Amino acid sequence: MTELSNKIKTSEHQFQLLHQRMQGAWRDDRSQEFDKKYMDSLADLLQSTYHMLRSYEHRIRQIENKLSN
Amino acid sequence: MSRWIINDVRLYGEIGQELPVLSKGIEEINAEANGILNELLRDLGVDYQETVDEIQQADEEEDTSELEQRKFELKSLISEVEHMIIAHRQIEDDSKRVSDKMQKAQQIMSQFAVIAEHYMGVRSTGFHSHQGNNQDNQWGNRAAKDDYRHVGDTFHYTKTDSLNQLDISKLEQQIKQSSDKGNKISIDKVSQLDFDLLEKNGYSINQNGPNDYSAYKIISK
Repeated sequence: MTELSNKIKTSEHQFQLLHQRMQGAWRDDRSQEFDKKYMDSLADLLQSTYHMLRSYEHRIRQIENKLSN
Repeated sequence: MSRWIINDVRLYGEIGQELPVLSKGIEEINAEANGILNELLRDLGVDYQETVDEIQQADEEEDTSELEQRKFELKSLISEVEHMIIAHRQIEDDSKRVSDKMQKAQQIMSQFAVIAEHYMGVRSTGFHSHQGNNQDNQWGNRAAKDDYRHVGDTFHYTKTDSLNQLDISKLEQQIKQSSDKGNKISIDKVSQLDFDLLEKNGYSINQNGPNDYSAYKIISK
């Protein structure tokens, strides 16, 4: 799970770089519409996946500890 | 008509390619997480069954309270992991939905690139005043700067910067729409990095000297 959440963190970073580039190079009403419709969905998914994986990581560690005691 | 400002036309292609890759990556990571959770569930289930078996195999006078405690804990953990798996389905569904959405985003970016290409062609024929919305468009400035030269039967173009598909399409569109007659397009100062793209577009590569290349294509016009 740690490896997976790290991968998500890397994807999040790649996404942010692309988003920053987009904001710096493309500005009009279409870009704002595209931002709301597509970029926001991907940003939300990255964030929720990351939090979910981190919570799994925590819970699995607790389970392992519980069973090893 | 809306105002259209883009400083780097390659961005459409890059966004179009990157977004589906990113969303597909998240989908795969979520599928992998689901696999880990199911594996954990399976391990706990096996442990539970083995613990039950141990209890059943114990002698009557043997103290099985620790095993009973373990059985109880395993039962509770199995239930917890089952809930995690159910909750995870939601994020897997979200991943698939976003992945589909990013395919659509890719199509939109391709359409923008085509519109942009068309726009460049129209602009080169002198109809740009009809468009009237691109004063901030550096890409338009580049189109004006990089026009071809017509010498005899050949349309010459000297590569000044990086060469991409849009540059080639724009050049060919300009030539196609012009009233000049000719049967060859020659692009000078190409680099080895451009060879694949040029050959894909039907150009032959010619070496003029050490590390000095041009590319040409016979056309009917």
